[in-house]
Amino acid sequence: MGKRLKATESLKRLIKNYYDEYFSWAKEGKPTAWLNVGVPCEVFYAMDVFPFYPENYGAMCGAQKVTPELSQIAEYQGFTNDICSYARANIGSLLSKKGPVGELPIPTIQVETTNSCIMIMTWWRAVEKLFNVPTFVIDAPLVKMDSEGHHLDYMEMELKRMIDFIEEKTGNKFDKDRFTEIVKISNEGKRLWAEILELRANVPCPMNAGDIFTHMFPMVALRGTPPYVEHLKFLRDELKERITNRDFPVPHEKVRLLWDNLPIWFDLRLFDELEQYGIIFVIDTYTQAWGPRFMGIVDEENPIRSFGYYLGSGFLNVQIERRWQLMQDLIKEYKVDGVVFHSDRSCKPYSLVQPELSKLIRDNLSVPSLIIESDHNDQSGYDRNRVIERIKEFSQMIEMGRK
Amino acid sequence: MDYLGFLNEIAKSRKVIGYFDTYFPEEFAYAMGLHPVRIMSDDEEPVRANEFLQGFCCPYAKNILEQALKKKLNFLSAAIFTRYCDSLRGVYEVWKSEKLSPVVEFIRYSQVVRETAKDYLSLEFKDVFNRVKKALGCDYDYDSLKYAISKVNKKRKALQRLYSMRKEGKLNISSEDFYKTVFSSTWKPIDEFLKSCEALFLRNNSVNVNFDDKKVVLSATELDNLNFFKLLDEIGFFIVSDDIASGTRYVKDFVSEEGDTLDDLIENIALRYIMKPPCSVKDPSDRRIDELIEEVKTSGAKGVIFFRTRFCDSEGIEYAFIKRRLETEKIPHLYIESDHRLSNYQQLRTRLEAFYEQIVGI
Ligand code: SF4
Ligand code: SF4
Repeated sequence: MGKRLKATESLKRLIKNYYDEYFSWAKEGKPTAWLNVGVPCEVFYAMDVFPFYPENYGAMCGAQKVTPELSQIAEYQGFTNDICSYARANIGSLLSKKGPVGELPIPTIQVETTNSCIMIMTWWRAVEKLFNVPTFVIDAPLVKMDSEGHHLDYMEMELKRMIDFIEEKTGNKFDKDRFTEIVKISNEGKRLWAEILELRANVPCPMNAGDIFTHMFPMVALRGTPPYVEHLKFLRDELKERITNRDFPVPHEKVRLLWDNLPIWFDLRLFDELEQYGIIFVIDTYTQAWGPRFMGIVDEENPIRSFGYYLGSGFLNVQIERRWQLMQDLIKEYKVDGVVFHSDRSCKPYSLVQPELSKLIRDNLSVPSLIIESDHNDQSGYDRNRVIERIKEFSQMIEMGRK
Repeated sequence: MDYLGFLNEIAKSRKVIGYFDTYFPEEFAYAMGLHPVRIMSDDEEPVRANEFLQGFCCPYAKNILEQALKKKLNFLSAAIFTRYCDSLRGVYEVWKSEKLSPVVEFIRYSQVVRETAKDYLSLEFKDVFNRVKKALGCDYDYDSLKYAISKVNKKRKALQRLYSMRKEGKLNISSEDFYKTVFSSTWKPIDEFLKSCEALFLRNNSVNVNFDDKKVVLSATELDNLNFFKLLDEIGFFIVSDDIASGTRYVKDFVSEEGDTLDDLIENIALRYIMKPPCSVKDPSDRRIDELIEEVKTSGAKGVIFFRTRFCDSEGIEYAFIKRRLETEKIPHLYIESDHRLSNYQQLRTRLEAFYEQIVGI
């Protein structure tokens, strides 16, 4: 149970270096930026502005189970306890100057895009107002399937405005050649990530869900940097090795499941625990957000427009038709036996379509689904045994159905 | 006749289209000879909507879906959503999948209060209303749009007059009646609404009342349950003004009637809706807070009642800043949280009474 990847050790170093670097940039007074995951970090690396992702930091708060106490601090200042737990943890941490890595430096600027939720825009606004941080919102109106026509033109314009904003606020200039180099590196890593996701389709699956969620980090924060490519190569090769050596987390898979929504960051071990029953989550929709379908290869000839396309067609910026398409594709490609919807009370845009998706699956495919309730980042009220029992029962039902 | 009865009646002679937030550019609907209606909450308990939306969805949004699932909104020929909040987005997805009205449209709305969004939004309006035209067999042109703009402007002007009279102590009607009138502006035909305003103006022209001690300003996003206003009346408050999406934030700012081409008019509409007093789902929202403070100061209100619908994310953050600002300005305020049905009615009553005692005295 819980067979660890060698790549996890190098990942820990990568994360540590990233946080160390953020702290030292801030200490030296070099420009730093807080971005939400929809904002392309490649532009910031190209402009020598250190990109930091508070959602990643939020996940760290979740993993270390400090969200409830940080939330209380935010609540005391008037932020309500039913907003996204990432936001509560982050705001609480800033107000108390406490958290998993101590006092978090306030960034020089913030950029966010509305391509995931409205929540995030108000979260960034909170930091803007609390600490006077100049903030730019990339307006990304919600699309049906993808960004095209005047929507795409608008996305391109918004990104150009963002570059003007960064130049104005940090004094750093945008250098097209440097940017192109970084885009090339970013694309190289994206190809590797696509390979990694594809390797998971192998039967048996070479990597469980807990590991893929952990290894998302370089895709989120390091795109365009050499260590990101190195790490993803290492991970890809290790998975290939596992397949060659037939060294699988669950050698005798009984049930192959799909996970929908963010993981439960404070209980990634849930996935390890389920392995002993022959249950493995072979794919999820969350890491697809950085995969070729939603964050594909950027056109090196026309990178800004291309980034605009992926930003405008981001995973949470499309409607149910595209989510349904993805679900069907993944079920087929990964030979999925059942779908588990994590109904995440913090994340409305991800969760509120799940009952309808579950209905579509029931009416159109011969694959069962299960909805479990939790929160991705706040363990209050989480009943681990019940979640495990429900997934076990669900899996048994799938097995029985086969007999 | 009540709101639903009235709309069912109207639907016999005109196509009715429903919208869900005040960013919907109703001018287009009038220009096409349609009757636009803001769908309001009612006291339905969520039952069927629970099959589609989880418990953490905003209850106001869920109630709108419940009404549709219970076929109470079958008079609608079309439902047009904008990108407003994440809960209404969920309602839209279900509405579309379950085909709850013959036509379901979505405006890929901008979220920023920036003139830079004007060209984009103008193109988006054109696309959406071209589809509506085809689907409902109607049309609009320069003249009809210009006429519709001037009509809606007249409605907003009349509403502004109601608000000023209220502030000047010249509208001696209960808060419940005042808001009944204000909210009816989003579902009554404009001429009818204007007539009822005229009657009110005439009746109250010479009245001069002094409610100084009891004046409060109400701040909220969606709040259209008239029982809440009745409760405030019973306690003794006088709602002198508000900062509500379908209150002053709906009433302020006109669409410019200038322009020689249809495109000019469409751009004027886009600009008004981008720059209008923002809800907390738009950015920046500073104008909203500034104007709330201004409403308090210019009306001589003694305090602010801030009403938040449970699970409303943007208000859950915005409140922290409204609170700070009110404290800095030394304006007493009360934060209350509920749902559209006021299911914690007794608790609300007790807290409101205590606030009344605090600001007015017994
Ligand atoms: S609501 Fe969802 S998309 Fe938005 S910040 Fe929270 S987890 Fe992310
Ligand atoms: S109250 Fe808030 S969450 Fe509910 S519909 Fe209005 S803006 Fe959306």
